[in-house]
Amino acid sequence: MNARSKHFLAHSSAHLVLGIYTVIALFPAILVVINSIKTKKFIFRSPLSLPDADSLYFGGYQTVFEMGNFPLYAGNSMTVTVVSIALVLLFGAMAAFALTEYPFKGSRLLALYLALGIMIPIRLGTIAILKMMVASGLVNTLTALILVYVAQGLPLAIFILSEFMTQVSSDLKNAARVDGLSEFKIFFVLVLPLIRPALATVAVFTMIPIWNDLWFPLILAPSEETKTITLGAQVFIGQFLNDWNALLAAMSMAIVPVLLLYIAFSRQLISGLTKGAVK
Amino acid sequence: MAQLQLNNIVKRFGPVEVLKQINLHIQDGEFVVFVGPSGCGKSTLLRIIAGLETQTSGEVRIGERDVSDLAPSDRGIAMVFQSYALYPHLSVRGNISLGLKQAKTPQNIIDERVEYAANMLALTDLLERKPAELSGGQRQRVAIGRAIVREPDVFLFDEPLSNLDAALRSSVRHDLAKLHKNLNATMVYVTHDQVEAMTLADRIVVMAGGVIQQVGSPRELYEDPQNRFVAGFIGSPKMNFVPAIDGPNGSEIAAEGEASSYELGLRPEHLSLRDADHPEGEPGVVQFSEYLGSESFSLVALDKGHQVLVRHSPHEIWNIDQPVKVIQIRDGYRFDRDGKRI
Repeated sequence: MNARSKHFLAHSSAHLVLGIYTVIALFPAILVVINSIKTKKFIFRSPLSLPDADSLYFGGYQTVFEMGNFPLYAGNSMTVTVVSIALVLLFGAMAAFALTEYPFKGSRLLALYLALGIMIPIRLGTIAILKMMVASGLVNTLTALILVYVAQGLPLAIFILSEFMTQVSSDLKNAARVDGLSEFKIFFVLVLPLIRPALATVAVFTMIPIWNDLWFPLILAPSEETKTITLGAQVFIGQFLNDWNALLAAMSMAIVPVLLLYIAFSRQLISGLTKGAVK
Repeated sequence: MAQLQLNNIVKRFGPVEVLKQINLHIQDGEFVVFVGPSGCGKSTLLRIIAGLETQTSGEVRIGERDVSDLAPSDRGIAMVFQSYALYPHLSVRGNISLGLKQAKTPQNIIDERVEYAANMLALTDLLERKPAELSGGQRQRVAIGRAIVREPDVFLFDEPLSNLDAALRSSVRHDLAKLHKNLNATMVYVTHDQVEAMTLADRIVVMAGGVIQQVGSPRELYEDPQNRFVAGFIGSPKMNFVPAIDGPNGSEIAAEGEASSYELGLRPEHLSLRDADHPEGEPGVVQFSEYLGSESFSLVALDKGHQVLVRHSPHEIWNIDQPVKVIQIRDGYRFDRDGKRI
């Protein structure tokens, strides 16, 4: 076997593995989307078949839009997710910059303390959080959710961003200092654009669990005005009877915004911006 | 343009004293090069002058002002970094003019100065490009342009050539020498490359272990080194050091293990090779010979146990393992046990 065919083999086997993984990962999502436009009979009789003239049915979507207050839920989810990501990125990057750029006594200990949250699930503190929210009158507000999600997202954000911050050339920051840029400007104008790929990574990691979360919306903000999409979809799950069409339709629509956000961020994952800054 | 004065600069990192009582006076318009092995504190000293690092104690004066506690941008300095440190999101024009914009300079003056610097550095055609689209030499010229437009009192260079390849390095070196002549500016330049130091400097500051070893013109340092470190550091290939005693006809090389009263420093060009039957000189055996075209170097193992490198004409051919005599054609330098010149 020559080198070329060896290369081809390695190449195609890598693609095979990736292809299989893609199928496995996409399968449930595609199944949900396919079945959301089939009649209930066909959902159960042949869940894997594609919709045809007999089985095609958009009743689920109709139900969702008529009953579910769906746009409000989607809006709530979007607000909570976007605001949380923005705050996690801002505060996470600021903390990471401070920890890496201005070493002070105990800065390593502080960094370790901030990273501790990665290992301790925030749900362990649910009761205390609920008590705090009740005491501060934040129950049934989106603010409550945003606060919790920011706390949940910060440890990983600080951990990942610190690592990237140290890679930003100190010559570059010093050149800016000689040119008279303030530390704030150095952070916002120079450093943040250079770590865009890291910010995108953190955004994606932060976004998915927030969007999919059922726990905190259920506990902290179950009122009709503050329901998120995952909580909203629960109305179609009854004790004895599930409205599968509506449920699948709601879930299909819930996938779309998060998919769009992901595509937006993943474009940023492509780096290359740092090229030419330093050797 | 202005003079630069360093008074009793001390810098400690925790318990480690990296700069010990540095005193230096740099004249207006002078090109001074800090040179020394890595870790000698030369870069730290430059960063203290720039204000990027704070001194533990001591005073930095630029012109008539005490700038010890001022921010880098208020000191009247400009700095060129080893890694160019260009702003990746800005065009060449943006890179060069950012400092002026920060200082709220009127736009017409900014344009004028950018034009002037671009002309001087042959960057006019590249002004709208991004750093990523430039070659290494062009990037370094942009970094120099960024320094020029600020019209600083003192230019600071932190190993600006070490990222360039050899051919480019000498051409940018010539550009820098020309720049110094044109602007007649005070310049401080840090390098570990002694060719850069020798060719560019009006005065060289040799540093080691956080202490200034000697300050002087390239010629002074080469011909009149004050201690063993400077003698060994300046000059390539290095000076030979052999233990010696006073004999009837001047210095005599002491054999290995024998008592010696001082160390003798002999540059390769202070020695010459003769055939083994020559009446004078130290007997030895050629270890290897390097032919460099315009000159040759031979390493000789003396019978007394030391090795010395000898420079000779490329037309003289000495073979490996050939017995020879090494003669001294110029007096060497004597250093006492502490490395001080006697």
